Amino acid sequence: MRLESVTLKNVGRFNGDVSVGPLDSGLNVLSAGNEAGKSTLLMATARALFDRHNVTGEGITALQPIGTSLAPEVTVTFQSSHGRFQIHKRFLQSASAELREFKDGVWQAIADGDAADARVLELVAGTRAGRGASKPEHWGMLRHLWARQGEMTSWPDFQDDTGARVRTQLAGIEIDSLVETLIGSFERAADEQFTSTGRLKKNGPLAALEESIADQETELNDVHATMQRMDEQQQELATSRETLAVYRTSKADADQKVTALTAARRDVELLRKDLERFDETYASAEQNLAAIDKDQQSVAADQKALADAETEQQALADKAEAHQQKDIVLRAELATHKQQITGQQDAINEARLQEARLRDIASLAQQQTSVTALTKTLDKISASDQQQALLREQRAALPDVDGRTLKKMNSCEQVIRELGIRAEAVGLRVTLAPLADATVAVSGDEQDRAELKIAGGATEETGATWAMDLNIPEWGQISIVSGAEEATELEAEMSKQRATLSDLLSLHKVDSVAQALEASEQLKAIDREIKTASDAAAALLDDWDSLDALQQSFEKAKGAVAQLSTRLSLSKEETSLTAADLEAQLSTLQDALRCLDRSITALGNVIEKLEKQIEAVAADRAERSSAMDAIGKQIAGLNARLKTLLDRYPDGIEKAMEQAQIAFVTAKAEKAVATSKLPDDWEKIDQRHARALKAASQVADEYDALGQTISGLEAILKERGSQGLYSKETQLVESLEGNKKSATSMRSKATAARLLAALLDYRKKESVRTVLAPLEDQLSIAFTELTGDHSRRVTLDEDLHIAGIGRNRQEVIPFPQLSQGAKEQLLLALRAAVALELSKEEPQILILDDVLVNTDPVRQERVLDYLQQISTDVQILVLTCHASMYRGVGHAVGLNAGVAS
Amino acid sequence: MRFIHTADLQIGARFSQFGDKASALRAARVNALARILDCAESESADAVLIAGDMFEDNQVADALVREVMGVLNAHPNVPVVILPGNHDPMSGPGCVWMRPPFDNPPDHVIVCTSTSPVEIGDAVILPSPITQKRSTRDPALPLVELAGAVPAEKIKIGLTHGSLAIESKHQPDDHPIALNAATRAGLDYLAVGHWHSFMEMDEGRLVMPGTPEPDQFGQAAAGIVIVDIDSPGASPAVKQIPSATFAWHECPVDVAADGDVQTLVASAVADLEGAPENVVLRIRLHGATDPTRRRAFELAAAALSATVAVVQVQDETVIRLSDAMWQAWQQEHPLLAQVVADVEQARLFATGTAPDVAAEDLAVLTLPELRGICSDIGIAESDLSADVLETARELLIGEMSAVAAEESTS
Repeated sequence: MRLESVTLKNVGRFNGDVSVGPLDSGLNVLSAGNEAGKSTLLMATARALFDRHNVTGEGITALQPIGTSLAPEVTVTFQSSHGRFQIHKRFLQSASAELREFKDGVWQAIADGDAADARVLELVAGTRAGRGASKPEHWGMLRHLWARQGEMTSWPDFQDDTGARVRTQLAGIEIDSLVETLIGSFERAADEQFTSTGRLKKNGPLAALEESIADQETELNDVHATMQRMDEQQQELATSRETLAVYRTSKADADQKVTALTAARRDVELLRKDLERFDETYASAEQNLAAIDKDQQSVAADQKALADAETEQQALADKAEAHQQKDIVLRAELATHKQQITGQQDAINEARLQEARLRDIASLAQQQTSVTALTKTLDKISASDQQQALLREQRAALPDVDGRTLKKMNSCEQVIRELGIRAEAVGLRVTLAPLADATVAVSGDEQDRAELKIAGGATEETGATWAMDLNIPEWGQISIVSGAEEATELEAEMSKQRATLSDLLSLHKVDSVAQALEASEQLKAIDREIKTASDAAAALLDDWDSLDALQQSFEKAKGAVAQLSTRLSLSKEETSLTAADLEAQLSTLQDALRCLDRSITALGNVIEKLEKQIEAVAADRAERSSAMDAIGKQIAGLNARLKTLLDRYPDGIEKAMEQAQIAFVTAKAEKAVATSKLPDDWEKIDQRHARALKAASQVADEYDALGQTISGLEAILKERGSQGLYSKETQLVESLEGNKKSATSMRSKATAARLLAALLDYRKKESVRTVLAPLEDQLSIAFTELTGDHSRRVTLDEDLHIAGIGRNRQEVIPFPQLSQGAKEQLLLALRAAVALELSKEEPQILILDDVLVNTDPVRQERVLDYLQQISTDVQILVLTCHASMYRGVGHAVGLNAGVAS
Repeated sequence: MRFIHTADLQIGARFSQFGDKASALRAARVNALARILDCAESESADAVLIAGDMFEDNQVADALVREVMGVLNAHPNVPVVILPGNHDPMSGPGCVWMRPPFDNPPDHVIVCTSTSPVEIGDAVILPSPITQKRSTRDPALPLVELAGAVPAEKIKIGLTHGSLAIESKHQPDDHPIALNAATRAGLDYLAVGHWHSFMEMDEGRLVMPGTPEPDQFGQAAAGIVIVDIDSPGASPAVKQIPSATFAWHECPVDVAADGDVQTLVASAVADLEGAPENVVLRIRLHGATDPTRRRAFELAAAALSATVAVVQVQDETVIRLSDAMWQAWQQEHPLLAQVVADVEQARLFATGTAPDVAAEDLAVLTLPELRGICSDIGIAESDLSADVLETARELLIGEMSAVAAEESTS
């Protein structure tokens, strides 16, 4: 189809008529600003060509001018291989369609209404839309050849009939339609069971069937396991029954053994009773014999003991007499020694008294010496105290100026000096130069002069910080005040400092700083003297903690002297004794005392010895007396016992012994006979019987337990037998067989379908690949013309999409990664290739909406060159709002109301 | 003494190859018992001896056991002596004979759970029941001692179950019965069961009656025997009586044969014995043909189940393209023909089966190509079984044949 013109009425922003055309058969450029209606024009053209006149919906109402309900009208004049046609359609209100053909020089109506719709659709190779407005997929070739705004870098696929035709014509590819049909059919078959990655679809029929098979197999396994268990239990039952038979025999044997042992035990019991009886008789006879023997021995022993006791009694009596004599001698000796020791004790006492007195006299002399020394020390300390008191009085009289105060004063004075210097610098300077001698009274002089005497012709200078008065005789007073602020301030500061200094001096009662300094020095000197005196007094105290302690020691010594003097009442000779005399007398006394002590000690030892001997004699006597009593009692006891023993045997003890021996021998013989009747190991029969009983009980328990096991197995088998496991198994096996066959068949079919779809697709793509090269060459040439890039080729994929560009197929930059400009240019080349190819059969129009938006100026020229080149074969309509880019290009077309331009 | 001797009813047997028709075949075996009892009544038999394997297994469903007892109870005047066989041995508490209702059967039903003789009329039945599935012992051996205790004026009839110790025809642990077991024990007749075909041994005194109802294809005619013994020591008169409900037939059909499919199938089954509703039919399709024709055969065979009781279609056919069709496809649908060759090549890789089509002008699929394709779609090499590839071949050829048929009609 080739467009000639388009006329719109009541479309978009065009309330009235607006026409575009006539369009050139080659390159046309429609320039208009944004929102001028360029796209609306084309959309209206598409509606007129591809939509039914009576279609409704948003796609049509969008053509109406906004806010109106006007009926859009579109008239499109176009050429096809069948001729020249004009279609006029009115949409919405009073919808209508009229198709005219230019024949024999005139426009002739050839169809209207639905017929016109159908005919024009046929002429432009479109397809009928369903309900509602048409979409690009219904627009035939225009779908590929109209790059709408914003779609310059997109390309529809080749899946529809038009695409297939394009693909076929472009690349010479003709795919057997049956192939696509089969691929679709096989893929659908495969998709029923498998996902795209080849996994079984979870909710698919095969998955459900296999799950069912798995459940059945599980159930079948359970049945088999139960049947297996039943077989095992049958086996166990058979084995248990055999074991039970064995146990039955064992049980009978055990019971028999118990019976035999019970009888044997009974027999042994009777024999044991007989033996016990004979044993008792034997024991009794033995006991009787032993008793008589014992009595006989006792009699003999007692008689001997009696004789011994009497002999001993006599010996004790003789001994007592000898001890009596010894006691008398010892006592006499003791009395003599005691008298001697008393005499010596008196002598010692006398000597001790004498010694004590001599010591007291020595102590008195010592105390007196101490009192004298203490008195001297006290006098020294007293003198030191007096000196210190005097120094303190001197100190108190001095002004109390400490170092800190002194420092403050010096600081004030220093500040005043500095202020004075500054004041002087900024202060008043007055030079007096009288003609004649003069005396001038001054106040405020910096040097504190009260008057200045100046010789005539001489000069005198004076100054002040900020004010001074000069009183000139016979003239009057001159008051000079400085106007300098600084001087005022200095003066004020100086006054302040002077006041501070004055207060300090006054406080510490000094007239000047120098005086304060002197006072401070004196205070320091006095402090040093006081410290010296204090240290000396402290040294005198020496061993005493304080003066009071010293005083106490002194008083104590004085008291001791007085007390001793009074008590001793010394004689003249004693008073004249020297310390050496006292010492000599003491030594003599001590020697005498020591001799007396030794003598007394020796006497004491002798007395002690004699006393011990006397005690020993007394102890012997007491002991002997006790022994005599004991022996007497013993003799009496023995006599009584002998009588008792002999009284037991009226016929005599020897006769009794003889009879007892006969009885013993008889009992012994009877016992031996009874013992010989007992069986061997008869002592173990109880143990054996108990063991046999236990064994029989164990066998019985095991037998019962086995019986219970057998009963249990029988019950289980009976219960399981009624479950109909074989029938269940049969049911499951029959069902499984069918299901497994179905599942295998389904899986095989689905897998086969997948494989077939893949093989078909593989071969299809392979066949496409073989014919791509020429088309790639064609597109690469176009791309080179558009871009000037000779180094890269366009590469297509099997679906005839642009894969990308690169030096070769292995080094391709994929299409999505290319710049917008490169994409536009590639698709322009592809669209151009399509249009050129199709125009061999049917005129074609290529509609490009602002094709140069993303193209740089260098390439713009190339694109324009290319468009002009292909416009000889294909009608091109470029829409743009950049008129300047297209100056001098093709046929300029405008949107004009009423008359076409 | 007149009695019916049967065995191996194997009630509850499994027929897994017949799908949902299996229950009909099972029901037939219960019906066989009913007919045997009917026959006993009509022939005035003194007893029915069932020499083992009345049930397929000791673990058949209770409902089935009760149904069988129901059948027995419907003929209270026919004494039935039942011997446990190797399928339903007297093995213990779980066996069918020790649970209701056979643990306390009615008076006319005697289950020989031990070797205790059973007196019926002038005869003494001497049973030697089977107690386990397999054994190397001759189950007829105890009959020697048992028979010795029977008074001379009584007809001695032995009853046991096992294989006949025929050289190379029996398993050593399959209860082997000596071939002279009847005369060895001095029996007038030894009723045996186990094998499903009729056999007569030991001067006609040892009889295996076969199964009364067939249970597989190729089996000899099924039936029971009626035995008459006039007196002790007399030769037994044994008469075979057919008793089967179903006739089992196997019919091969060559799909490569020329002719109409319906006609070919109908003629294959035309001469079958028995009414269709009592026929178990296996149609065995064999030969090579195209998918359309094969499908027609399958449908025709399956259609027989409208009249035939049980139909099993065994498909052993091979799909093959005619040379003309193959040539046409290579011309008109070259890509599809290529894929057919690819499938054949894949079959060669997987199974070693040589391609069925000539593909000189077509590309040969390489193993790496095939692996690559399979990898892309998530098929493991191991999934490409002979079955899958054959299915693929049939699918594709089937589709293409359908298209060709459509093209030829349009």
